[in-house]
Amino acid sequence: MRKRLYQWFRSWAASRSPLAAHIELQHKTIYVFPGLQGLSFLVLIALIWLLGTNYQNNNILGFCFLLISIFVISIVYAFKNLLGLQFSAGAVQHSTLGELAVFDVVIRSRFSRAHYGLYIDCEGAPTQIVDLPDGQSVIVRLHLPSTHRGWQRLPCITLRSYFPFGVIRAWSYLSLDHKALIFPRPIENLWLSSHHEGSDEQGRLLVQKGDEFSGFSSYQQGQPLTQVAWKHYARGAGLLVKDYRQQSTESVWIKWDDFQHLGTELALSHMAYWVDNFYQRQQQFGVVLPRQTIACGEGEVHRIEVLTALALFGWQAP
Amino acid sequence: MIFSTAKKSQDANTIHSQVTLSLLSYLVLAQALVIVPHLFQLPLWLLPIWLGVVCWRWQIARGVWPHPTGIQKAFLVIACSAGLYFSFGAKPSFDAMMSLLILGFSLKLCELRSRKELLLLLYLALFILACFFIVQNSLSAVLYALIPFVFLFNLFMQLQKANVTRAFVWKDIRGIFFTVLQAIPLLLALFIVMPRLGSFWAVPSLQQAKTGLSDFLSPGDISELIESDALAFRVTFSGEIPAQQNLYWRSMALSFFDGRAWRQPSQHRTPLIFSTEKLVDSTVGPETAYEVIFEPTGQNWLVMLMVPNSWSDSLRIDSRFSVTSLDPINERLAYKLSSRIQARVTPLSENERAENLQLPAKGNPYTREEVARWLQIVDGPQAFIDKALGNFRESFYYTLQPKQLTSDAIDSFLRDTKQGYCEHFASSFVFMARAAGIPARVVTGYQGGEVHREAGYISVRQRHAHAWAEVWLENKGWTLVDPTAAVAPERILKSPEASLPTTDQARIQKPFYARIGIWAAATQYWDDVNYQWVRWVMNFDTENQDALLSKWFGDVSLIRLAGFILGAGALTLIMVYLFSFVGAKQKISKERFVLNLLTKKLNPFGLTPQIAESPMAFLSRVKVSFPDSVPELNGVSELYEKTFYAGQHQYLPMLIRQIKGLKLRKTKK
Repeated sequence: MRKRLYQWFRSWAASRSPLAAHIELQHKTIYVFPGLQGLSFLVLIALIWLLGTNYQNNNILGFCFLLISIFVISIVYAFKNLLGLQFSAGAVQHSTLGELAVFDVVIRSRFSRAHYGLYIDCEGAPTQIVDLPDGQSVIVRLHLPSTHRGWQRLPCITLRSYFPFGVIRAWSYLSLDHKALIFPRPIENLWLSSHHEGSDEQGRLLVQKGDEFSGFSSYQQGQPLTQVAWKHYARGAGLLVKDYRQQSTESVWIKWDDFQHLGTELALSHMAYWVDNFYQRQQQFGVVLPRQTIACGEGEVHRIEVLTALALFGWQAP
Repeated sequence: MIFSTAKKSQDANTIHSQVTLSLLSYLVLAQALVIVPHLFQLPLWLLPIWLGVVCWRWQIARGVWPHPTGIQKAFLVIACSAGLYFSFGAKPSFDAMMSLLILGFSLKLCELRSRKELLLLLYLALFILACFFIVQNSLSAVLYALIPFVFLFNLFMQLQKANVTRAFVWKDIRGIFFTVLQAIPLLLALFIVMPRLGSFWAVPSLQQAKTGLSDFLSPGDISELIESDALAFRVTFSGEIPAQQNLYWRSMALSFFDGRAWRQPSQHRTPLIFSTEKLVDSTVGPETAYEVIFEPTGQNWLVMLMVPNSWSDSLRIDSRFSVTSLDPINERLAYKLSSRIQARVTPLSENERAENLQLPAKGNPYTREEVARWLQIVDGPQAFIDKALGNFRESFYYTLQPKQLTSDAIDSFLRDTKQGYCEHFASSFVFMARAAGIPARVVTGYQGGEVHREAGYISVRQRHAHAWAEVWLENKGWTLVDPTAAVAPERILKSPEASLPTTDQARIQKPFYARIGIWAAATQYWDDVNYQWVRWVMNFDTENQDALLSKWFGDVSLIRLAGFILGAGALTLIMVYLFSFVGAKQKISKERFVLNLLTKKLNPFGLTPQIAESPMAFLSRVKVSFPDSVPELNGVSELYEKTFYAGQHQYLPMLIRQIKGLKLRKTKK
């Protein structure tokens, strides 16, 4: 019953605060009610009233009534603490599936007055408390578990504050139109690159084990046995030799066609792995996707461009 | 603009777990403000315990000492309980309760770790602050309590902030002060309307030694009182304030003399009188109505003017016209009376005649002989009294430092020293009258009072304490005779000090500043304010409440009262809301206003100013998105530059108009 009532309240509240990229808290979206500390404060008031009544002391009764009046007045102040707060989506951040998704929320005030003790609750993220000093702005960075590749929406934020005296809880629900970009989770894999430019006919398996070596090649008679990758031999990959050749400056194409057979998600994860791999080795690489080709390049910006393309490949909102 | 990024916070409940030195020093100050006024009447050892705990907590905050262990805490609690037991015994009393509360309040500081515990500490502080009013209920106490009150609420406020850097923020202190002011209308409404219920259970009352008259009179009693400037009671007259020489505040009649002290006879109970009609002669003067607000004494006796005609139910007046209350007066007591100052009580029963002629069988032979000699000269009681008073007037003088009397005190006074103050004169006069066969008794009380003519009341202090005599005369009944007035008429007409030699005046403790004119005027004014406070606030009881409410509402019904309170609450909320809103609107800067306007205009197009982005930078970003609207946008930025960068504020209305009228054309890409 209580749960249903709460759900009804939430859906009613949600209907009053529609999704928007910029939210300013107004009268109809701020709710106030005594908090837990408020209830204990009322108990204190009752005790002082008992004291005053028993001793028939008008000063104590007056003191008790002063506490009641302040309790009532702090309703306005609690409300005012949230009124005029403006929330907007910060710059879109990206992260990799499996890591925490990052959402920046910009808070500022319509008025040049301070707002204190703003608790920001978002399901999955630890509660944050911020103060908004006079006429200043604050960026709150929320870290949430990433759930899927592509765009991830910021869930509804519950904003609450107990300012000024902790007795009244003022709160609001914020449906901020905000999203984070989640790159596919890279999965370590072996990739027989038949299209590696300048490779020999047998091709080469490129496996990452660290920056210092570039890959493996088939075992040739006379090579030292210490360089043989026995692990791969045991897995049945054949006799391979760790290749310590100079880093290649040639560009590589990561092609959808090479991974297509794994299924979309797995293929993207495998490709993402190689993007990071080449990026770390500072090797030029390009990506060929069914309806998109990204020319060879290197560096952070290129990596983000490629990973964004992978993240949004065939993406549909879940 | 300055920007700060929110720190990733820990668990919400342990945020303030670290009590910083700044916060701690503030807390200790607040604690001192709450505790210290109580310490004056509680055992002295509470102070070192509190100071010890403060030192300990300070060392904890500095990281030098660890938090107390369970055993240490248990030891402290046991030691303090033992201390309480030795100081108060097992019987619960108010002081014991207060000591316990204050000990708990002190010790709690030591184990203060989290925010919840700090909250408990604050609640305790508020409760102890409320208890302060049981001990002290003057207006000054109320004003004093406002200081710790604001301090404590500031702490409540700081606790709600994410970052408590300093505990003492002047702006917040001021804000809380305003909040208290805003609370006053609702406070008054509640104060007036909320019903006063009687005590639910018996509460331990205060046991304080107070100055005041005692129920017997022995040499030296009154001179101690005369040195005290403490307030005894205050009186408001409904009509004219009677002349000073008529203000004999009668407390009790002492008719038993044991040779040294005068007492109330304890052999048999004196019947209470319920009506004075039969006792008073019919040719009486006008009736004087007055209200007395009596300061606590811890004893039962009260004061009144003779002869009482009607009085509050809380008073007991016996056939000797001694006036008492049912219970010891531990809190200020207000009562109403009306008296006929010119009336005389006429009848005298045989028992009463015997009681008022009683003298010890032996002692004071000189006085007895002297009286016998006089009786041969004078004719009738009235002449005897005149002779005795004349004798005083001729060769006696008034001082607060009389010479030591020998064992036959009255003989020694009349024959040898011939100096003394009211009690000597009253005592020896009554002795002589009785020896002459005139029924007489000693009466104690107060004489005169400071008249506050503008405020319409008089205040009577301990130094107005007085003793006089009453004699019973045929045809006249009980008649007041003040032998002191014969010696020092100024004592009665002016003030107790006026009649004293200068050496004695120095003995009456009055600080040097009391002699400065402005100070005296200020004290007088403060007295008036305090009096009104006591009269209207402290003594606002069910009776006043009913009178006031029926005056306001006519028919007092629960619904009307509830409506009144709700209305007052709603009115307060609306006022506070409007007040804060107006204040906030004024504070908004012009730049922020323009930025808000721009944000509102451009929000539907998905453009919001980024953090650290000035309106100019924002506008140039907008220009990129809306190349077709560049001319208009250029106009806006030009005006903005003129207004804010060149300081030509006359362009502001134009700028606002331009922004409001801005029409953006979405270009097709």
